[in-house]
Amino acid sequence: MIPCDEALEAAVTLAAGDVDPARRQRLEAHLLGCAACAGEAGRLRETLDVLGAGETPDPGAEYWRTFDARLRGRIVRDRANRRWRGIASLAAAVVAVAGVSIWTAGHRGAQAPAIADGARPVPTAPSAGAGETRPDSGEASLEAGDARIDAAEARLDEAINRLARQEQGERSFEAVLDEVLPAAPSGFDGGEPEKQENDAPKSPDNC
Amino acid sequence: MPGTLEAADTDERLVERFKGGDESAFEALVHRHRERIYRAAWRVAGDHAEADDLAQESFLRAYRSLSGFRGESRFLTWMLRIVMNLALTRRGNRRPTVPLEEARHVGTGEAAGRSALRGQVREAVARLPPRQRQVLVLKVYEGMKFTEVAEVMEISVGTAKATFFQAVRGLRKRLAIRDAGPCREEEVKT
Repeated sequence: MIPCDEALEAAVTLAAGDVDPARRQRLEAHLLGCAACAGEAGRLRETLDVLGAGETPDPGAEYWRTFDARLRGRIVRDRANRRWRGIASLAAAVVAVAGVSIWTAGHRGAQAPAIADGARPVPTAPSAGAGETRPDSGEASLEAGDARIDAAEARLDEAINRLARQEQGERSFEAVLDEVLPAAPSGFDGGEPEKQENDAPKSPDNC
Repeated sequence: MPGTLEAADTDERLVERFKGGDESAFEALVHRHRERIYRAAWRVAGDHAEADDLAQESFLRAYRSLSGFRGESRFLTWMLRIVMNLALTRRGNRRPTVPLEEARHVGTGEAAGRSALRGQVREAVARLPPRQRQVLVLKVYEGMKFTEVAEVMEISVGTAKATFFQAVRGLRKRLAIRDAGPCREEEVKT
């Protein structure tokens, strides 16, 4: 004899008309000896009978006459929409690629002459007010790049001037020393001083 | 009519023909299954306008993706899965509506009694949770085996049986409450 939980599951499938003959026999044997499961199975059957009394929808012949045509129209519209969406996506992709290409070319074009000629690029005057949004982000990026180059060149100029000032300062110091201090002692730098040459006793060979 | 011209073709053959570029094969499939699809849509949606839209949209989606249909299940099973998924996506946990004029119908005699019972059944089914309602529709009204219900709903056979059992118990409870209820009309209104 099958246990109650299995019988209940079998009762569901039996009530739904979806049980194999062997299982059906085992279930019926169980129901004969189990009042609780027999009651449950009966109520299930009863409910399904009531469900069978539910209406069958019938929208009418006119509805079916237009069903296929309406579906065809829907498919055609859907295909057209999808095609347009595809074209729009493609166009957006082309515009994006073109935009990036133009920006890249413009950025390289702005840097190349400055490097080649050693000339300082002239920063462009801002064309829009502070609160005004720029319509072209590529142009804005170019201007930002120019500003960075200007700043770098300014830093380089300053460094060169600083070095020049330091060198000039060292020269001035030497000049002051030359003016203030007497001549450096002879032999200091390995050379032969003029005075020593004049004061030296004449050798017998020179007399 | 394409449906009659290709009456001898199986669904599988029509699908293959459609994949080969024959648009009329799809029309034949629609013509063959449209009533069943509409009925299933009506039972889960609860009203004609929603059922019509569900049926049309399901066929449209089938048209879009039929070229990728691998034939692992029957075409009808696949179509019903589209209907059920679409119904779940669209309505979520919303209950289908029951037209008041139908539920309010009170009369005398056998015909009136049957009509009242149909209204009660319809309303009780409409108030079930969506998945229970769908399993019930597929099992009771579409006459599917539990294995097929499980395939359409993408659940295990055991879950399909358990969900069906819960649905039937829920229905019985609702119908019994309704039988004993003091004022059916007012309950429907609220």
